[in-house]
Amino acid sequence: MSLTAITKRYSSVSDSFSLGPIDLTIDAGETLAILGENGAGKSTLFNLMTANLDKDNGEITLQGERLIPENFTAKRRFGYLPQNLYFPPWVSGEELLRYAQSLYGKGDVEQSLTYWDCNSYRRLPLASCSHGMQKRVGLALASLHCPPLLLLDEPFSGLDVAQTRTLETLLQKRCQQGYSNIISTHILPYVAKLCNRVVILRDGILRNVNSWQTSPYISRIKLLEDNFFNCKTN
Amino acid sequence: MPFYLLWISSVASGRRLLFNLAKELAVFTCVVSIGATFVYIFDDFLNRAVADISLSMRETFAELSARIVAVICGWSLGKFIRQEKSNNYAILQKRLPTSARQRLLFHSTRGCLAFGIAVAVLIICCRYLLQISDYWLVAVLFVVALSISVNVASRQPRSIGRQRLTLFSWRWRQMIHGQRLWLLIALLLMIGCYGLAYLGAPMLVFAALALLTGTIASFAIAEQAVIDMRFAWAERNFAISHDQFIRVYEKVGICLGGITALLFVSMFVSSQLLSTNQVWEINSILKIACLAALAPLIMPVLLLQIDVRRAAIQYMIVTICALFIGTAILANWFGVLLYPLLRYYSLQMIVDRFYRA
Repeated sequence: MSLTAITKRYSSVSDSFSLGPIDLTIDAGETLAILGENGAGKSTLFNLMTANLDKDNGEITLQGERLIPENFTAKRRFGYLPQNLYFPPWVSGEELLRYAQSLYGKGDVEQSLTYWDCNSYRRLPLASCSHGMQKRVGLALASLHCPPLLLLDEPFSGLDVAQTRTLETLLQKRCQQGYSNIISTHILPYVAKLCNRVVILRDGILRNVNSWQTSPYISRIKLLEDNFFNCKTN
Repeated sequence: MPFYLLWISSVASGRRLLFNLAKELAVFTCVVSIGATFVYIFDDFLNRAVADISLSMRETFAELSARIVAVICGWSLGKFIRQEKSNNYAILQKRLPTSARQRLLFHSTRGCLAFGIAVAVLIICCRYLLQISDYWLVAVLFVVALSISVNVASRQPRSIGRQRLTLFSWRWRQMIHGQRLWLLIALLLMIGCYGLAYLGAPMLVFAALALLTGTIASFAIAEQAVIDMRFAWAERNFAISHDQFIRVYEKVGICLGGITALLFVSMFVSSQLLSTNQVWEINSILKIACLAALAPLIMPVLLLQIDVRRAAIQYMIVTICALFIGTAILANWFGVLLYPLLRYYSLQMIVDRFYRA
């Protein structure tokens, strides 16, 4: 995925917010973390990257194809997990995955339900499931069609220890297979463990964390914290 | 700006006609040649066969053929106008920094011109060439309007047929399971109507109840749309287009409206069969069936007009529109023409709002 000079601006009587210009390229087999303060615009950036939100300027391409809202081919190439999940209340996890499978035209529902350990509540209405259970369905939905790019906004929140491990394994496996992931999280140990590259979003601009790849795991969290607070004071 | 665009689009239409003239002439010549050859070969047989048929049957056949031809012409004309609106100039006009008022002016003038000229030609042909009655002329005009408003997208992904069914069944099932309250109220109202039919209540009561039943049934669609819009993050990722979203709701509306209308028709038929002193006019029954189906039919095109997430707003809009069009239909069959008109302009106003709402 490649983002070129992406900008987005909101303004109202009481508030204004500006994002960009953002230039970003995600290579195959890379896991990129996007960090930032609350309200820095991470979710907005995810919405722009998934074409759920209209950008003001710039262009987003995915495997050479322009990403626009109704580009079916391009949209099949990524899976997305938003920060705030909403599912239709009377629908079960299984029904939801079958619906997605039918629209994507690919994906193994049974395998996905088993992988994310959703079998015990697969036929329960999602309204009666806990936040963590819904999150697992959300992850199953995002990864159902094995997309080349996975965009996960706060994927670790609400997951139990076992499911966190499952997600870690999935992200690492995808990297080995040459697939890419973009995650946004505030939990630094996961970033240190899983990500090949980190960018920090501050004042609407993305800044790279330098010497990330050469740093050993134990010093990565310190590096992240230093960069984060440097960004803040600058 | 709108008039300038109108002018250059008219010039372009003329150029396009000239550009395709040779091809069109070749097609016309081929069709005429094949037709003439057919008539030449079967001339004797046709004359003999036609002579054997009784005069009244011949007239009936001629009348029927004229009506069919008129309807086909109406549909084709509508299709022509529909395709005309989506040419490059309309798209170019969207990209120019024009105001909403200018856009509306451009589309209205352009639409009225195309519609006016084409319909005038059709009316003349129907009246003097095909010699069909006024009622049929109205029906043909309705077909023209319907054909304009039906939006058939030509370029769609291959799996779209399967997608359509999935999208429809997904919403339909959720609506039947989740919005039972409104559907139950509508059903109870209808059961009340059955009782009134046996008691012989005046037609106006049924008209009001049919409108109310349809409107209440359409509230289920509005409630379902609220849920769908909250779930839009996923459907947008499935690359469901705005057109698909609207079309699938229209299908839901047609099914719901169709069921409501059928139940009303069956009510009149059964009351007439079971009670000897009840005689209902077919014209009135059809009008009431139309009124019952009206609100579910118009709800999908009104959904994204103001705020799809607030069902109460949809209730108000659909009630007002259904009352307005329903009264018009009750007064005169010409009122039916308001539906395609409303549909056309509503769809124009909500372009791409599934991704912006």
